[in-house]
Amino acid sequence: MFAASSLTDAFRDAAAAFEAENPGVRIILNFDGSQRLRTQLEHGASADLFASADWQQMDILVGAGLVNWEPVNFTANRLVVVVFPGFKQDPTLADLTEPGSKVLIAQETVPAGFYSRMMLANLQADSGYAPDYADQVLANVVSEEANVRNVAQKVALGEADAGIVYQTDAGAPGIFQDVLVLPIPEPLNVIAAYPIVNLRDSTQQDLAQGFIEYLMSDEGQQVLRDHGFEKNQPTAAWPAAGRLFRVGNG
Amino acid sequence: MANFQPMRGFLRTQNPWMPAGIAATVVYVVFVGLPVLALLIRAAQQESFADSLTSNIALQALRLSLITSLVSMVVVVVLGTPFALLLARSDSRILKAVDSLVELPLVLPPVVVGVAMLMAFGRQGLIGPALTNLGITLPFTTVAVVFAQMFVATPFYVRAAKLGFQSVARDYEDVSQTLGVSPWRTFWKLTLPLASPSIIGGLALAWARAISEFGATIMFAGNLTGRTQTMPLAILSAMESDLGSALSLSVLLLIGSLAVLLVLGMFTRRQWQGRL
Repeated sequence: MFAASSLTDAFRDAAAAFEAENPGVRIILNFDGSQRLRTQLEHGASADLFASADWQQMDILVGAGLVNWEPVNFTANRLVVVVFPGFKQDPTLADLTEPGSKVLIAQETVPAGFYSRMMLANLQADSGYAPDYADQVLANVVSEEANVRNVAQKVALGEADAGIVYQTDAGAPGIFQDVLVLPIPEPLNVIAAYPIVNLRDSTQQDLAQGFIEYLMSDEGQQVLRDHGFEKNQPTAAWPAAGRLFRVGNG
Repeated sequence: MANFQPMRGFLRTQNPWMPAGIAATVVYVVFVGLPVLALLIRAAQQESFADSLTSNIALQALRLSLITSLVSMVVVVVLGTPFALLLARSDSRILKAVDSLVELPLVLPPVVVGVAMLMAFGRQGLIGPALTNLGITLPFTTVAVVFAQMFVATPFYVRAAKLGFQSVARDYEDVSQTLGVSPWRTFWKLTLPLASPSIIGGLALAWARAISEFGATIMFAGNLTGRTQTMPLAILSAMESDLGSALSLSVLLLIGSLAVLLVLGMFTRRQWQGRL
């Protein structure tokens, strides 16, 4: 199973539970950035399942005919801002524009980095924030990290003042003790939809389908929620929301 | 019959290991050559090959890589040469202990080096608060890129330079000084030229390691175009979205590095020819 690195902890637990329910089954997990996994699958890597952190990578595989059936959304994640406690007293989202503050962001080509820029643009368009909010924050970016977890780690280490991460990163062990979390106002945030699909070269289609069903079950959803993911929304509403991101990237 | 006639060329030696040597050489050349060849072929097939090479991000990354690796090498040579000379010439037990630590950076995974550098020189690091008081912040700066390169590249240079100095018999230096040549002049005119092939070889290796530095840089210096995004970081960033442009950048790095290594190689040979 190839899965987005943000799913690491949740999928380890989910796989363990699935293996316990299905004696004799062993799930081999391979975590990496969704776009890197997609590149590997395009170049001949074989797997039974692919769980992506965005639809962009999924659509490329669908377009290349590398999947069985339609991908389905199984969970969702949202962005938060993590702040180093030494940054300032009672920080707010507006403080990210303060000249000289050190902000970390994931690079634009990874899903989290793309969503982060979209979220900043949403804030900029809102009357509650400066008309050049996104530009000011991006001017304070000292590094575009290759991996969103690195953003959280470096803020937790105190080497940067703030960073934009998934709420699952903010709540991860080794991170949550050392950072303050600023939520993004509801309508302005970007929700990342996570699709999963059974791959064409799969040799274990029944088991793959079984794992997808497990993920969609109450039990599977609870495991994901325990790791900070959001409950999966009714499928009807989600592909549309997921595909919106793809359109936004042109 | 063949035993009585001298054979021409490299097979002249009767060493029974020779066929094994040739077989191993072929395997090695194919093993290393094939991926490089594949890289060149795939990159050349890219329609956007030329565009990728002249893109703003590629040029900024190339410029940053050249500048930072040049600065790293200057510091490595200035600090590493006297260090290597001392290691080569001293019998002190403390220095022997230091000597065995020179290669320690080579066994650390670069990402760990980056984390260690954050923990030492970072804002919250061991000497971070002191640096902050002096108005110095290192993480996420170009200086941090140079730090990371120096850390991983220094062992290659110091080790080669030390071996170079050790290969110069002390008798020569003693004779030179008996003839009334000052120690400084002896160093510049005798020791350094005799050790220079080894030193330049070490410099080439150190430079190659510095220019390819990735893991420590991305942890300690971060990844920002024009400031800390060197060629290897730009290649990884491109890899996330566009394999083609990543391949083009890799070829640019490959050709640039090859050019530098060839020039250094020529320089080394000329040194030898001049001396012998």
